[in-house]
Amino acid sequence: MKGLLLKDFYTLLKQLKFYLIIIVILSVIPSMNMTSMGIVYAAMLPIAVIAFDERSKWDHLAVMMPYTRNELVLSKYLIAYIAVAVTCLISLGIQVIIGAVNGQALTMEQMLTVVLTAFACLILLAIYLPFVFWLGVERGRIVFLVLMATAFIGLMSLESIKAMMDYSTITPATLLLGGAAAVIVSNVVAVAISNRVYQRKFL
Amino acid sequence: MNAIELHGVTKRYDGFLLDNVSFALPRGAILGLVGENGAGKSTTIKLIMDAIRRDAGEIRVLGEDNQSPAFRAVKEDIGVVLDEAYFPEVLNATQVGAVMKQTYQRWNDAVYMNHLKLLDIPLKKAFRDFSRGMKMKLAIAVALSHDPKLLILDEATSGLDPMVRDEILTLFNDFTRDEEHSILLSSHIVSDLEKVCDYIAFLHKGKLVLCEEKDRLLEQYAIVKMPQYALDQLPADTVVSSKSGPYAVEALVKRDRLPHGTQTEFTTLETVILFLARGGDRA
Repeated sequence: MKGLLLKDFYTLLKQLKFYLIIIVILSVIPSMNMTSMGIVYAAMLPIAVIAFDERSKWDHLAVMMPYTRNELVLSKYLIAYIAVAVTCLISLGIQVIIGAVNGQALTMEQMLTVVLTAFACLILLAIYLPFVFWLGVERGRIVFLVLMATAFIGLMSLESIKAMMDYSTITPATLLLGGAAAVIVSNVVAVAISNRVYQRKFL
Repeated sequence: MNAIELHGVTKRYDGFLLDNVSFALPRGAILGLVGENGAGKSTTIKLIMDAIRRDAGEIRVLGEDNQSPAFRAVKEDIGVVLDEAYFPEVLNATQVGAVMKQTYQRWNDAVYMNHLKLLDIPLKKAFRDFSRGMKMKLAIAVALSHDPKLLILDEATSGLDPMVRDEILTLFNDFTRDEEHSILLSSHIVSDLEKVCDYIAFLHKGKLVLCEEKDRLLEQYAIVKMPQYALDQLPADTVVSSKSGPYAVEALVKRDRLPHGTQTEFTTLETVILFLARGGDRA
């Protein structure tokens, strides 16, 4: 598995430089929606990796190496998890620095928005990645774009999280726990479906 | 003991059937899997590595059923080179080495670097800028650098210039100096197989036409050129297949059936295979 992740890291290396610059820029823009875009971008990275794999027919070679098909599938999810986690940390870190410069502490709303955006992106990942495994990158990308458009509308509404929290009985803890549960369930199901789809590719 | 054994292996696709294929690669030997494009060579290799599921039959690789959970460990002992399936194109040779170090438990950096040097492969050049020859050489360097007992090479020499092909065939010969080392080499370039192989398995339209020791094959068959009337006078079952020319008929015949003193032509493995394929078509 370490080999697969390292391969994906090398594959993304050039893109990662651009990606890190984008995250930093998006994080310093004083709008939580822009930070959200960075996290969405992180959740998209498996598409880029799978596109490179498809072009070189890497999968055909990899199934002949000491890897299981499940590991080949799981590595794509792991690369997204790592990217989303790193993006969240960078975004929060930058906002802490900006806050310190302005003499303001990181608010609960800021933290909650980053974490909930990450959850939304991981659920998005769980929905689109099985399609990418099933339909290939080109058609899978269309599915992703449709989902993105839908998710974007949802993300816009996150701006009103504070207002929602003020009037609703839902506590931040409930939101976090509910979100985490949704992420875990959706991703467990997605990995299982992706495994099944991937097995069929090599029948 | 055999490095690879196939018994009655069958795989059906729309418009293609790999039909009841059985052959064995003894340890310490090189077996050439020959056949025209689309004969089923790559399908056979995928089946051997359990990259696709067989419909029927049994396959054992290095003594292990290739559908058993233990086969994953066996893959550590197998170096694979595939036709047109490579490492992601943005990687360079150094990065490929780092990835393979995390892939194979017995990966040997020193051996890998030595092969890269020997095969004149640049360390920092991206794989996408490699020529086909360089891509194949890198794939072979990887296949040889984790102490494999078995090499499985699918069309590893096709499309390469004669110099590179010769270089690679020498590497294969060196590899089998250890009697525990075996190679399954698929190609439609019969002359390459003739140079290095101990055994030849000939696939034609999804059927195994023969699997024989190369030397025995050349002992068994001969090419004769004679007028049709002379050919007709040969004992029954002597002619395997024939081709009419303007002045004479060229025929593949069984040497042991030929009358003493019959003049035979210089016979290469390639001509034997071509005539056998023609005979198969008529059958």
